[in-house]
Amino acid sequence: MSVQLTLEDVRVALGGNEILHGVSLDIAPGEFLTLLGPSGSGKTTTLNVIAGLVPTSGGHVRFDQQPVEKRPPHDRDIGLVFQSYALFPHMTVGENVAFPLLTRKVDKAKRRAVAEQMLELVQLPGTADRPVRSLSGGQQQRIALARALAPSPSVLLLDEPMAALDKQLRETMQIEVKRIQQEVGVTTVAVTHDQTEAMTMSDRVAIMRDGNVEQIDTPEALYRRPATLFAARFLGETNLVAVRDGRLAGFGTGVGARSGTAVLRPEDFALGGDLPGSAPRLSVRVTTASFQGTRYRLDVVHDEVGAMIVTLPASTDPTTIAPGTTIELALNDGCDLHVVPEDVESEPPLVSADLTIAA
Amino acid sequence: MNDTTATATVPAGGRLASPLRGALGGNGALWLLVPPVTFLVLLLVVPLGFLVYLALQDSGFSKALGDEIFRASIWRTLVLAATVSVLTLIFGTIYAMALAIAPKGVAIALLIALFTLFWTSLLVRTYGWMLLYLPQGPIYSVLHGLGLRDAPVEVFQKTAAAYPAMVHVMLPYVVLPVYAAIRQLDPMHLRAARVLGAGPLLTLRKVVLPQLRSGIMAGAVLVFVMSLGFYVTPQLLGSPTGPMVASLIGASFNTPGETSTAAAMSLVLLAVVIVVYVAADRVFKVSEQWGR
Amino acid sequence: MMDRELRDGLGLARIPFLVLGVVLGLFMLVPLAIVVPTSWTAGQLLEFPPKGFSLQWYRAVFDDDTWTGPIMVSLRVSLFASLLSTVMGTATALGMRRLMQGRTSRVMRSLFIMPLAIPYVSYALGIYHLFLKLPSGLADTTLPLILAQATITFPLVYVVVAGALANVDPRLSSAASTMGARWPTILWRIELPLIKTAIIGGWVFAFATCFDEATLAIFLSPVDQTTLAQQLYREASESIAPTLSAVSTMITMLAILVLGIGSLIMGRGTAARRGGNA
Repeated sequence: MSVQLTLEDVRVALGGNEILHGVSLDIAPGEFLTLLGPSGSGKTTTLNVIAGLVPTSGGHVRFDQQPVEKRPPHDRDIGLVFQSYALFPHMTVGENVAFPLLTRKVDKAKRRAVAEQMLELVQLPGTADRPVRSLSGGQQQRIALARALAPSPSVLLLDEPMAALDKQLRETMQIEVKRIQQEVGVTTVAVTHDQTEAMTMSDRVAIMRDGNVEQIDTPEALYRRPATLFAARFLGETNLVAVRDGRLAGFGTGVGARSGTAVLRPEDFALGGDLPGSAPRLSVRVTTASFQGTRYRLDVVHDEVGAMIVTLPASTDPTTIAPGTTIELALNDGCDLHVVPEDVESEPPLVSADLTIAA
Repeated sequence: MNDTTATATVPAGGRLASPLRGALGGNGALWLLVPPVTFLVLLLVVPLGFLVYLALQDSGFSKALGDEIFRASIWRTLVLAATVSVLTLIFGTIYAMALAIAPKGVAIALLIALFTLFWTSLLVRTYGWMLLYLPQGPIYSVLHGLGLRDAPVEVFQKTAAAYPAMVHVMLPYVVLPVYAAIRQLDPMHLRAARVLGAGPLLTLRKVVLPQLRSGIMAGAVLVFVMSLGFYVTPQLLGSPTGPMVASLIGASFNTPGETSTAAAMSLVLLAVVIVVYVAADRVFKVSEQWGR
Repeated sequence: MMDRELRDGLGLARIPFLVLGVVLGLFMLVPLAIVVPTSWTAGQLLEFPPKGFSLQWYRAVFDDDTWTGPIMVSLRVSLFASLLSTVMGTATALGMRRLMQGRTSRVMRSLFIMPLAIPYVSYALGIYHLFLKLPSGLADTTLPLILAQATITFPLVYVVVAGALANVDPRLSSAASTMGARWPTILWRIELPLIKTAIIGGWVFAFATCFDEATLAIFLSPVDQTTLAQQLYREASESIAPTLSAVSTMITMLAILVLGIGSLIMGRGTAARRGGNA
């Protein structure tokens, strides 16, 4: 059932403003892709374009090569889980789940059977006759998922599916959604602004910004090798260190690229004493140190590089990293020094000013 | 923010290009709107347009406007409508405030009184006023009982007799929107006013009343417009020698040869109503109060 | 919460409001308080205070086809007119929801609200003469009255139903369309069930308004078919009699009963819907 989903240079204009400036995506059958970005980046609009809820002003949306952008939502064979779930309040759980089958003129016995099967899939068997209102938020979310999957749609769309859940439940549901998606094998596009959620659930993540796709790749690749500073900052905590004339500011180490910005993750560092003398290093002053169970998180400052965030193993002797002390940091051996070259830096002016201070 | 706006503006069915295309292709707006719009055009626009045709038939306008009685009745009607709406505005606002601040038991009694009034047939209410005004009716009985009066009371079929009855009939149209507006006040504003040291009168004048303004005006404009065209109550209670415009139109309704005059008078009345309604809508957004 | 803040904020200034409110409340009830007792007089004339107690005038109402005929006419006319305005008003509210907000929709909304404001006498004159021009003697049936009453009650239904629709999450319709539902299915399975109580409420409201409406009836109803409101008007302008008080009392009680129950149902409906969204 799962299809290959392609967006080709999709544009959307609303009230004279173009809010998607040519989005292209190629999503393999059965793949789980997440659109990640801040609000206003166009991720929900992209999802609504796939669903047919927002008309395009240019480009194509294809399901298995067939263009569908002119088709209304009811003709697209999709399942959409709304942020607010949009469960029908006047129907029972079973009627909700069976609704997509009703519109497809499936007979009553079959509808009932599929609804039961779907409720089993989301681990809520036997709830078919309960009113929707009697369910908790997490249960409603499962029902919404069951309803979206009931007609075995070509594409499953999830719009901020965890936004209404509390943090604990959110983590459980992320894994649950991933399990169900793999079990059903449906091509899936999700929207979120939560990077952990994106990384937990997705095969690939597309980072969106101002109506464009900034970068699309696997979570690992996005984290290790962000193509732009925006992508680097958006995914995980980042220290951006300037590279000038092939040298890494502060460390003085030579790097491949001539100039740009190196992306150093907090876990790329270790205390200088724990590593051989050949590792690139610099001296910083600790401003705060907090114990976070599995690790220490340090805010440090360096005269040239500026403020940085560093994590150190939980086994570190706390007296050596007390606020005010000066420590020597070295780059871990395994860390491949990723540099975003200057010509692809697409940081907006306001943020790059911030970067200038740091460098 | 763009994300949410984009979703919110998409109508059900998901087409937002032109309303026409959307209606035909996707969301059914055309199928739903064509019958009622046709209905209203045929039964509202056409009959009112037909009045123009009738009025032009037999020089209705010059006859109507040349008629001393008609000109006097326009003035009388405007005075009645204006007085009634001002009185209703004041009393209605007071009543709505009383509803909101009364202790629970009293508030319930006031609500029951309001809805009893609202749901009582207009004719029954008018009839009640007729009984009240009877020369040896309740007013007389009370005054006589108190030893204040011996001669029968003569208020029935005087122009003034219509006023209290009209205010009575119209009260709910101000009380209901104003009460709704009071329920929507932000309690924090009031608390803030009190904490900042505003006394009761200042709070009322600067915090409460300004926020009730649109509700009060929506009610008052409706009362004014309805009073202009009111027929039954002034006809039964008012003076036969001092008719309102609606009564004059009614009188020449079926009289052969006067159709064109009646049509012209109707159009003048209608014009006043429309001017007031449109002006009020511009200034006070009345239709937004009603049309949501 | 609101009430308490208002009470505290106004301090002693609330006492005049309260006193005037109670006076106005009594003022509201005065006419009814006079009509009802005069209907149970045991005497032959209308008197206040009434003489003794008897239900003879109520019996007289049902024995007299001066009243029973008009009651039937009123029921029939009001039923047709209110059903028509309910269908039209509901369709309008549903259709307007599907339009984008803009200039067109504002102009259309003004058209929809307009029947609330037009003077009935003027309107009746236009309708009457228009139907006179039509062949086939339609002017001598109750059709003009039914259509005119449907027109003037149309905005009432529209306002009530549009108000209820505003509380229905538009995403439910989008959700249904992503599940393969076309607009008629969305209408039938999602929107109508959710605004059912408002439609019934709007219909009851429209019916009561038609039933009570006298001006259009006076000018539009055919000679042999008088409505109850029209008959009340006719009798009141000719002679005042205890039967009139008895009829008035009965229709008032009935109206309060029907509209009261209607509002209770509506109130519960909105409460349930709100609970559903929370």
